[in-house]
Amino acid sequence: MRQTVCLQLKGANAGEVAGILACRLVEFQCRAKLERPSSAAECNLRIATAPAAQAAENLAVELDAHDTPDFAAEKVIDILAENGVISLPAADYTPEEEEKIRRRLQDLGYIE
Amino acid sequence: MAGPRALRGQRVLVIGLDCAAPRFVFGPDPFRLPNIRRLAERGCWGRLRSCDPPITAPAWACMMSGKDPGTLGCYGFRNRTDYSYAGMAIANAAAIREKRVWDIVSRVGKKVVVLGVPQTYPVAPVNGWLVADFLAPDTHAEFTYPRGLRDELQKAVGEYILDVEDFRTDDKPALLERIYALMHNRFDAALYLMKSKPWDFFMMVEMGVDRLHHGFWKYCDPEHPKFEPNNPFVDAFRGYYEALDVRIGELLELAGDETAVLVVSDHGAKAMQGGLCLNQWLINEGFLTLKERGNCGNCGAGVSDAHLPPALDASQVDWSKTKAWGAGGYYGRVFINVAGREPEGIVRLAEYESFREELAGRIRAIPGPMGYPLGNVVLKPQDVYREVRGIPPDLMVYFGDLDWRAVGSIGHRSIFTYENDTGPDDANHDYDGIFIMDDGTGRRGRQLHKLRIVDVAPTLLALMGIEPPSDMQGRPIC
Repeated sequence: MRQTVCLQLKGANAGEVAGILACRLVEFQCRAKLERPSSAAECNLRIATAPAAQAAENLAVELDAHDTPDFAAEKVIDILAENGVISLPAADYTPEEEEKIRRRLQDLGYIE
Repeated sequence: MAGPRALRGQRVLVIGLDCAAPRFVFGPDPFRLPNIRRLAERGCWGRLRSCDPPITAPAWACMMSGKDPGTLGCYGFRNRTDYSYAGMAIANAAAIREKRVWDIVSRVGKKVVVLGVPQTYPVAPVNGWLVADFLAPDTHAEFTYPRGLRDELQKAVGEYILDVEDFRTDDKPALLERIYALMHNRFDAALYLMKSKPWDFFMMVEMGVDRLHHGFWKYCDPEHPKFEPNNPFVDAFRGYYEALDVRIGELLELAGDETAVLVVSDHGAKAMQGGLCLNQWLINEGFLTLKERGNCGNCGAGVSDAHLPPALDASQVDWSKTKAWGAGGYYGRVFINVAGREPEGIVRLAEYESFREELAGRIRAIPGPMGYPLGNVVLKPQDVYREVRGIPPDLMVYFGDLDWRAVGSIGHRSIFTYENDTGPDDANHDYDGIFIMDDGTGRRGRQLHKLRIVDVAPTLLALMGIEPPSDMQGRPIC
């Protein structure tokens, strides 16, 4: 059963970061709805989690003004993962990719 | 007259040239490289001792983390994942758990651009832009961060080239063309990113120098055993390095005088004399036993390309009678079959150290083909690293002090081979790469000594006004 998590983003570019997040969260089987910002530096996202998630209810994240919006969004994704809202996938090669790389490395002389 | 301007806390540009050799840059008979030379004359320079092993992976990761391979748990491009006989994994970015310079710089809010640095695929988020290395399967994979950078680069510079294709070809003119194409593609991408993105830290690694050395050393070095005078590629090295210097000049002009600049390489290179067949030696000495004999061991004199000995496969080995086996590459790795550790181990734990010592001594003593000492170097990971994580080889071997490659295949009549199992390869790696730094403090061409690869990361952080983490093993180069 899906849970609903309210994510409050505070800081510069909150709106832009929220927009990026909403797109990224689709990859984690979440649905995110942007709520009307209460101020220029604050934005709320209501996230319907994937069915298997065991999440906290509400989260508030202070954004770093020096981060690019994409990087800021990635930091929020890490926080969401730490709080059980999403699960980060393992970054493994497929068997075909692994064989491709193995042959490339062999061809280049690094391995046999 | 104003004194030298300190650039601490300013932008930093790192130009990495994989495998760039000191002899071609510093001399005694250097190539004509005016842009690199100007940097060295204004700043400081020296030979940069690589890690053990001096291989692209983990050398760049050591350089950028300030930590040795033992701390990284990475001893080459493939590492054991467990103590089974075949469990190996490719050491891509996921294998590097320690923070590298761009991670640290990102976290303090500065912007980074990272381009083609080995072991950056799969991509991890940075505060900026990252284009991964040749460990990406292809350009359909997600090899950039952010994702959209892939299409942006394509529009700006055309198809991105991850690495040289068909490296083992005998068509050398075509290979050289592809190496040049790789270099130009990389620098075109670098110039585009440098112009279009705001950055505080910019690092690129150019792999073409390494590919050039391995593919063409015998044509360019009169002391290579296979050198033939008046061959059509005798100036291949000179031409490439000089073309590289021109492209570096473009980057320097764009970066401007306010930017601290480093030109570095992860290791050097030297002529390869041949290959020493490690597993064949282990078989001959009784340390490794196969289930069946007669697999090419009794072929005619020499081994032709049409009938290459087979690579050693775990299923061929009689583990109940095997004490050690090896893996080849630019350096050799020896693994001991330990009882209670490996599935069918026979070396008792109580005898492990004495056996390892005995084996190390026997390997060190292997003479060359004419019977003279080869000068083999044998290292125990526990002796060379601050700590040992992951599963290292039990012994690391540099045959002939890296004059000879380690060959893992079996069925050779001689333990010395002059043909590579996978195709032509003229060069091995060497211990020292290059280090050049112009940080605007007026060092006036000072030569530095005893530089270590782990010193680079703390140096970069210090240049940017960031305190290096206390667990970095190197010290800022001053």
